[in-house]
Amino acid sequence: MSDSVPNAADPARRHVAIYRRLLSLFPSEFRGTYGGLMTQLFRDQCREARQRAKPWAMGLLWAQTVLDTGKAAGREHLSNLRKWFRFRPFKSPLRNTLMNAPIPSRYRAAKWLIPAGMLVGVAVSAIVALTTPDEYRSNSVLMQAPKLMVGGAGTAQTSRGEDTVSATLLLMQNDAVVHRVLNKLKEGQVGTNPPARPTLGAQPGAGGTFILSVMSTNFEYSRQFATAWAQEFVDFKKQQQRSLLADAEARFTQDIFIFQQKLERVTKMRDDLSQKYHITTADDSDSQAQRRLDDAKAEYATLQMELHETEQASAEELALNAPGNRWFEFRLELRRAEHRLEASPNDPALKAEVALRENDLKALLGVTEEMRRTKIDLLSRRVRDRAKHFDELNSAFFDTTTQRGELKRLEEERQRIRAQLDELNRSQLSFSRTNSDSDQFTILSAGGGVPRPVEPNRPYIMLEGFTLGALVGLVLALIRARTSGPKDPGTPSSTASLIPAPIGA
Amino acid sequence: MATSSKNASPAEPEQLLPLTPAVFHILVALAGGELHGYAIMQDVIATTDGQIRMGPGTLYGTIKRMLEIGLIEECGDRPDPGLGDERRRYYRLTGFGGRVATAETQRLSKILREARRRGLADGVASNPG
Repeated sequence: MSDSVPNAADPARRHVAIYRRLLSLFPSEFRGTYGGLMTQLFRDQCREARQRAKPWAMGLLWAQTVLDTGKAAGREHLSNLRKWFRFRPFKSPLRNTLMNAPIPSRYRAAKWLIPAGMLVGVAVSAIVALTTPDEYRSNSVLMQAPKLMVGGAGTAQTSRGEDTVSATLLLMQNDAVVHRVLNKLKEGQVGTNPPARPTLGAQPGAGGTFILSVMSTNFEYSRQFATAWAQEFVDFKKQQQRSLLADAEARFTQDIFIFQQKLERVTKMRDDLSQKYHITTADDSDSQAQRRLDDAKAEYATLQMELHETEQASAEELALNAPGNRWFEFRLELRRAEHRLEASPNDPALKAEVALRENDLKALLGVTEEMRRTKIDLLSRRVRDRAKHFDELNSAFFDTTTQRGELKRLEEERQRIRAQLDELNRSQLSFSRTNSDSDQFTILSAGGGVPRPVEPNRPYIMLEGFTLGALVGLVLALIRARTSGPKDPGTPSSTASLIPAPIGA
Repeated sequence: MATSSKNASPAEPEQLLPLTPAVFHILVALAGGELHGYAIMQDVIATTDGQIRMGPGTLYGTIKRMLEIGLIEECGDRPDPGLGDERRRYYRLTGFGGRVATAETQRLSKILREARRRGLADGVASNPG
């Protein structure tokens, strides 16, 4: 069957091209016969959908088409498969009648591959099953002591949970352990032809036990292997525990060393500070310094006040208040002279006396003023000195207080470090005493079992071969059916029968 | 042109009953005359009020089986005047296909009569359980 010539102007060309690819799901024979017709029908549906002019029309068409294609392709493939086996499970006579329809030639040619695969699989598995030798099993049973999880300095906890059991089982089959056992046995302990590497297994038993099992074609070998394996594992665990303990001891030692270093450092800082500032933690000179400071402050305040009063007072006031000062006497004499002058204003002697008295009074005030200034200078200097002295005392007091506080802090830290160091030492001692037997194994029985062979599961081996052979045959048949046969004629090069016939033909 | 495989036809139409809905609807569509694939599809949609829509895969898969049994046959390629110049493959009922369609119709009619007799057509069963 062929397809029409694609119209370059056809808006549905892209959709049709995609649909043609979808047709590859169908068997090639069906596709070759009906591919063109199906493409033509899909093109008609696209045109109809566009004519509906709804935005969802094409989307709906595609959804229906994909579903239809999937179901129809599946039906065709299934139909071909059933034809291979003339399988007639249907109640409908119509469907069963279809089974009489001729089988496509390519499928007919390929279908023999399936029973051929089955036969070959069965034959091979039968040979394997018959030639597989009997094996002998031997067991060793081990008991585990509770495991100690070694943590940081002094921390530890016991554990025997699910993860520990799984980890232990893995460790039992550790390659290094098994290789050592293999090498030991290879050194001539069992005849001249020891079996190949035996089948090993480890599983948990009841009550904290573990069972090591060995299967090989020689019972004595299995027994010796099981015994050596158990012993090798016990030794391996002892060595592992020793190593773990050594690591823990090393961590303790390191931690103790670090703390000792810290203690020494803090002690030195404390001693240096004490020497530099001549202070101790028991020193009580704070109160004396405080008193000195208070005294200096009081003295400074007093001077300050005196200075202020001196600056505020006038020369007359000073003269008036100064003990032994003659200002009042001078002034009295001046007043008397002025009074006498008032009585005899033209007396030249009285005038001269009044002038003289005034001059004396001025001179006295001048001297007093001079003395005032001198006192102010003196007081100012003293105030400055006292202020400086007060600052020095204050600064020294503050430094000493601070350093004393630092000294106390250092001492407290030293005590704390000392306590931690003591705790570490105690922990180390306790740890070493209690953890030597943690996570160790003891052998309850070694190399047990009887020299009775364990037969291989021959029916299972044959069933495996049969199934595998059938699968391989089916895959080969499908590949052959798919790769042979005619090409898909739904391409532009094969458009013979649907090209419009010439007019009049 | 492809030909049907006549050696698969059973002797009696009753041997093929009951028919699948797709087969029966195609037979009914072709009972009205020769049709091509798209026309068959449109006829089925119209007859069932849009309840059955066959895609290309289902339609031609069913046509293939019907050809193999001999219910229908191809009757040449020609254009459909209503759909342009493109040539289309037409199908028609065979005599055997017509007899099978008649037998299925009679079977369904018998069931429909019985259903009506029991009041199912009115929505009320005559002997409610």
